[in-house]
Amino acid sequence: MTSRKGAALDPRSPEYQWVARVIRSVERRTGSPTRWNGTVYEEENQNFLGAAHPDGSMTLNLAKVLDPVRIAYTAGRPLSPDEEFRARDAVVTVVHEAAHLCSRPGDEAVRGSHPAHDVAGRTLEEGLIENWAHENVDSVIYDVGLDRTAPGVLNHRGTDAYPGYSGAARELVDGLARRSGQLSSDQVARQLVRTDRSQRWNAAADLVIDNRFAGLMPEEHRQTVRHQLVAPMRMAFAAVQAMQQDRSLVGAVKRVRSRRATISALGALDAAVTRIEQHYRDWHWQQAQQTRPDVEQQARREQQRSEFQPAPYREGRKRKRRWILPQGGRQPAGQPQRVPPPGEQQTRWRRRRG
Amino acid sequence: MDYDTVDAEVRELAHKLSDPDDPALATETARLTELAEQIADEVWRERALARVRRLPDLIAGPQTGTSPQYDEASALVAEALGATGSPAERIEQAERTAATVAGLADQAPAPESGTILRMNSALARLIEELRIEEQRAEA
Repeated sequence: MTSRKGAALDPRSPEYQWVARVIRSVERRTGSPTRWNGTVYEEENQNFLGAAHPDGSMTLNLAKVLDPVRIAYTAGRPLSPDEEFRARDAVVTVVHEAAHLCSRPGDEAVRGSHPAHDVAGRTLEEGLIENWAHENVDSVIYDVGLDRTAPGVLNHRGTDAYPGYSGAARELVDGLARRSGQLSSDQVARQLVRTDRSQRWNAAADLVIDNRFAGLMPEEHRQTVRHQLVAPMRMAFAAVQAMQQDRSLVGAVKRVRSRRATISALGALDAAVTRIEQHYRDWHWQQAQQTRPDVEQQARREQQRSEFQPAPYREGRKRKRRWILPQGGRQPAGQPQRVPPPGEQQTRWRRRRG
Repeated sequence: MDYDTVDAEVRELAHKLSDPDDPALATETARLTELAEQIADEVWRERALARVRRLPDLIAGPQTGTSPQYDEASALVAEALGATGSPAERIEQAERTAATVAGLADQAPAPESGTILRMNSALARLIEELRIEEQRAEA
C-alpha cells in the first residue's frame, strides 16, 4: 500500500493555515512558485509521513507531522527535548515535500531532454531537495513563528534521509557555482531546484557553457556541447545510487564517497570543457590565419590546395562527399566557413575514414 | 540590513568553508555578527544572530543516522528506487519496501525514527510515477 489521501484539511483549520504558511515561505526562499494546488489531505497510510503528489496536492500524517507541530504551538509550557525534536522533524518533512513542488517533471519529448525519473535524475532530485530543506528549515521556522512558542526547536540538528544523494548534490552545486564564474552555491541550488527535472542536467551544463564558451561556441552547438558535459555528471549520480544501496557502507561513508564520486565527475567535466574550448580556439585560429594577407601564407595555401584530396566516395552510402584536410590545413575555397561542433570524430578538421 | 541578507551570507559561507574547524570561521562569525547587530527589528536581529551561531552546523551538514535500522532502511529504499523491471513489479517492490521501512522506523532509536519514515516519501513519489507510466502504457 502506498500513500493514501484521506479527508482534505479544512482551509480554515489552524493545521491547514500553518501548512500554507510553510509552503509560502518555501516559495519565497526558493524564489519559485510551487505547484501546490491548495489542497492538503490527511495521510491515511501510517507507513508514510507525507508526500507531494503529481496533481500538486500534499498528504501529511496527522499523528506524526501535524500533531507535534500543534503541540509546539499550544502546549503552553516548555517542550521536552523529544517534543522539540519531533516538531523540528515535522517542519523538515513539510519543507521537503513543498520543495518537491517547486519543479515539474518537464517534457521528456523535447530534444535534448533527460528522463525526469531515471536513477540519475531521481538521485539529483532527492539530494537537492534534502540539502535545501536542512539548510533552510531554521529560516522557515522563523517565517512561521514557531521559534516564538518553542525556541528549543532550534537547538537540534536534523538527520539526513539520503546521505549519498545529498552529499553528491551538495558537491555538484558547489562545483557548478565555482565553474559558473558568477553564481553562489545558494543561487545554483535554487536555480536547479526550480528547473523542470527533464531540463535540470542541461541547466547545470549551461552554467558552465555560458561562462566558458561565450563568444566561442555557435548557439546551434549548445545541444551537442551540453551532451558532452552532462554525461560525466549523470554517470556519477547513477553510481551514487549504487553507493546508497550498499549495505557495507554506513551513512557517513556514503556521504563522503558520493562527494568524491562527484568531484571526480567534475574533473571529467573540466577535461571535456578544456577539449571543447581547444576545439573552438583551433577553429578560430585557423579562420584568422586564412584571412591574413600574407604572401608566405598565400604560397602555403597554394601548396596545401594542391595537396588537397577529396575523401574517397564509398559505394552504397548516400552521403555527401566530405573533404579531408591535411593536419593544419584549411578548408578549400568555396566551402562554407562553418565551425564544426566539437566531437571526437571532428577535431582539427579531420574525419575518420571508414 | 535585514535577516535575509545575513542568512544569504551565512549559507554562502557554509558552502565555502568545508570544515567547521576552519580558522577563518571565527573571523567570519565576528563579521556576520556585526552585520546581524545592525538589523533594526529586535526579533529579526535575534534570529539573525542565532542563524550566525548555527554556522558550524550548516558547514557540517545534517547528521547521518547511526542505527542499524537507519542503514538497512537507507539501503532498502535505494534498492527500490534503482530497481528495474515492469512498472507493476517495481510498484510491488516499492510497496513491500515501504512496509519494511515503517517497521524499521518503529524499532529505531527515537531521534532516527522520523528520518527513517521520511525515506518512504521518495517511495510514495516513485509509486505514483510508476502508476502514471502504467496508465500511459495502457492508453
